[in-house]
Amino acid sequence: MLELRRVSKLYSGIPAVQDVSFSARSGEVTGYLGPNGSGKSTTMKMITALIEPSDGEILFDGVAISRDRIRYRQRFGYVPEEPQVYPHLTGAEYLQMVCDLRGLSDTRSKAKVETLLKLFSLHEDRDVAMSSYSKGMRQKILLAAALAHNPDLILLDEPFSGLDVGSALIVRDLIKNLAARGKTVLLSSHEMDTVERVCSRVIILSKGRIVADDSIEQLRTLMSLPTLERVFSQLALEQDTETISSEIAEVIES
Amino acid sequence: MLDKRHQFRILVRFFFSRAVDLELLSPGGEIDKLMIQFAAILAAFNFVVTYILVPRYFTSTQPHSLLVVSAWSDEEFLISTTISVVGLFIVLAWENLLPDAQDSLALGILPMRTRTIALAKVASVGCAVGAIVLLVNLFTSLSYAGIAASDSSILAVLRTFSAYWLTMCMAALFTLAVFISMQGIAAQLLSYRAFQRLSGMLQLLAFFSILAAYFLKPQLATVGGLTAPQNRSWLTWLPSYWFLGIFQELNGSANPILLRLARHGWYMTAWAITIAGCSLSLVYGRTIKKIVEQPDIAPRDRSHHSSGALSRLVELLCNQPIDRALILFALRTFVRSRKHRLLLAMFSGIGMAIALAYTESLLHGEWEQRWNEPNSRLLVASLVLLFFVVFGMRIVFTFPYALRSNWIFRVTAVQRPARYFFAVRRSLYSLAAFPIVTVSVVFLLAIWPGRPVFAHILVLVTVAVIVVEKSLCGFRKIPFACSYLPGKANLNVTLGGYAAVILFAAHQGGSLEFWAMQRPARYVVLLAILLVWAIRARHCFREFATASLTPIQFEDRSPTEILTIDLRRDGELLGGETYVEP
Repeated sequence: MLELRRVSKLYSGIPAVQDVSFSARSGEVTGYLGPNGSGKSTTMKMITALIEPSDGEILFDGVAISRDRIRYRQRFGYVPEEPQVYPHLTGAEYLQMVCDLRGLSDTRSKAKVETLLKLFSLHEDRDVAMSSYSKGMRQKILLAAALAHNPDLILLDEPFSGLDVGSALIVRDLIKNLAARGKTVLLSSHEMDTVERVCSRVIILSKGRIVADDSIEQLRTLMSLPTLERVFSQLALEQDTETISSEIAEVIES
Repeated sequence: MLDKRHQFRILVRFFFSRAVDLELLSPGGEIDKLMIQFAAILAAFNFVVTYILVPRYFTSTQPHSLLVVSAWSDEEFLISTTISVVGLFIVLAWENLLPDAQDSLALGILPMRTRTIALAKVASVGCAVGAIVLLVNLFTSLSYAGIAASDSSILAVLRTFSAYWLTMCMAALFTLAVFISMQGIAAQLLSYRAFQRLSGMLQLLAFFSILAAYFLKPQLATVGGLTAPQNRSWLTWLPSYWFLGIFQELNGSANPILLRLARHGWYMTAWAITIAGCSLSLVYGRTIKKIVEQPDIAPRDRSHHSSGALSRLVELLCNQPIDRALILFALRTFVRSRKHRLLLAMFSGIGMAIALAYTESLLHGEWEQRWNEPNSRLLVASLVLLFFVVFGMRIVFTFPYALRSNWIFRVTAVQRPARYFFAVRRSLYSLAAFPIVTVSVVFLLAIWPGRPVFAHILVLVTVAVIVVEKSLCGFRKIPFACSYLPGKANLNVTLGGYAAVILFAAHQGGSLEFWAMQRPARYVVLLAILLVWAIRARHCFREFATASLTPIQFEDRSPTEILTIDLRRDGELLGGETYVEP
């Protein structure tokens, strides 16, 4: 189980994440939602130990991740928000490098790389430099790289970004499948429909603070709203989206 | 109403500002400061040349007519220096001579004519070349106007002064035209993708050709040298002699040999400019369309045999996954990144230039030692190359490739840092030391008997071990994966100092080795000392690498800067970590 206790992050005194506490249980997909700039990716980076919280504590299976970061790194897989990969490497080279860096044995990693490339429909482009991959192809490479070492904790920051419909459906089912196998999955996404279908629980973040943490059904019932999108709009968005869109249209025409 | 002149001026400024990618070398990231430093270095170089060359003309007792003839070799030296410096600048600005995908896509959609873009690009490079010509000849132009003038009248001095500048500008224009033609023709003959691949190789070829021509060309600027029939082919191919002829012609000389060279020079310059103009027009007419229609470098299939064979070779040599991952990453980055290749070419080019300068006298038979017998000059040359390539590669390792992608190294750093440090060391051995030792073995075996080659290779390998181990002691980065603060090292000053030390060490070392090779006892003592030093260096590196709580470095920032954004303990090890054991 992943647990955040009163975690805050300040950048030069400006809070990006404030007093965030939640837990993500194994066997569950936990949605982590929020508008742009609400602190989702900062939280994800703190969970991956890429950045250090200014305050609070992050625990995985009851142990603070700062106690043994190396052991913790062996247990999670991470798909970042931006598909940042080394563009001069081919998909196969990149996956093989990640497997080697994780210390996977040679035969095991080679077989895994080949199979994952085939399953993600990237086998034909395995020897093509990633600079010429589409965003979706890079995303698939990142997913394969995050899962190749069979992690216990899976951190997905906008994993559907750039994926075509077919691939998105595969990834959606894969996330549910991994959770059913006992993995802890934390999913951050702007696609409310997908979150509604995949997640059992959601945490909604606004301006760096948690404004909701409950099951989707419970939230819908409590707020008497039909969809998660409406719940999210109510809780996390301050703007009147319809008014703003009509104002933009008027400015364009003026 | 669109003002074409205004657009032209804006574009010239824009292209001029990015003529060379200087950000990596700039102190504190300030391009202006760096440019001023470069300008000062060029002007200072010219001042030193003037200080060394000029006084002897004023103290000479020779008659003026003979003095003018003896000045030919200095004039040729100044012309070839101008051509070489301009050539090296063009090599650095290689990618900005012709339009690239960025220009085509970003400027192509704006309401301006292609001709304006083409002219602005040429004008920006022309401005930079003009500034270089000015700086490289600042002091010599003033002094040689007095030396080479036919008499001491003001008119004669003014004529020589004008001839000097016209010649240097012509030489620079010729150099620029040759390189534009080279790229323009390649762009016409090949697909854009193939051109991009070839362009990198052409750039390196141009770089080393300039250095080789500058240091290896024979000194023919004497009456005997210019008239000797065996030198005719040299004179046909060496532009510095054509422009010496042009200078003499403009200065009023009636020497038929120089006039013939001048005629050849005018003819070749006219051809170069015509071809450059035509290819440039075709490039802007056709290539821009090609660029827009094709992706920049995609799809580039890397599945060719050499890549696969290389991977298998590395897999064969490295049984540890971490070694394999880092060596292959370093190798692939180095092979595929033009910026890193060019940076290494710069360092190894300096080494090669010094090595060539050392061996030049052997080639022209001006030294008591012979090239095909063991000699100190070739020993020094191989040591110089080894030092420059290893240190160059070590410096190139510090420049990141795609910094935002280095998160993958951070989240996968699950083995003891020592494993990564050892893998980095292996990369430096494989990519720098091993190739130089191999090339030296092959080259020396081709010209020397086996025994001295074997003796030298033993020394070279031991020195390589010392250099690699010492250069990596304290290096906590994964190659191409750590941020780099521009100007932190103030490379153009630091490297000058290092180059002087390296040169001194190589010169003394090579001479000592040659002296030791004369007697077996001396050689054994020297090798024993080097071996002890190498073992000590390896021990020091091992101590550094295996020291507890030494983390891998991903950020090239001082702890105080990290504090301000609250990354207080980022990357810090606590001592109780559980690593993956290989």
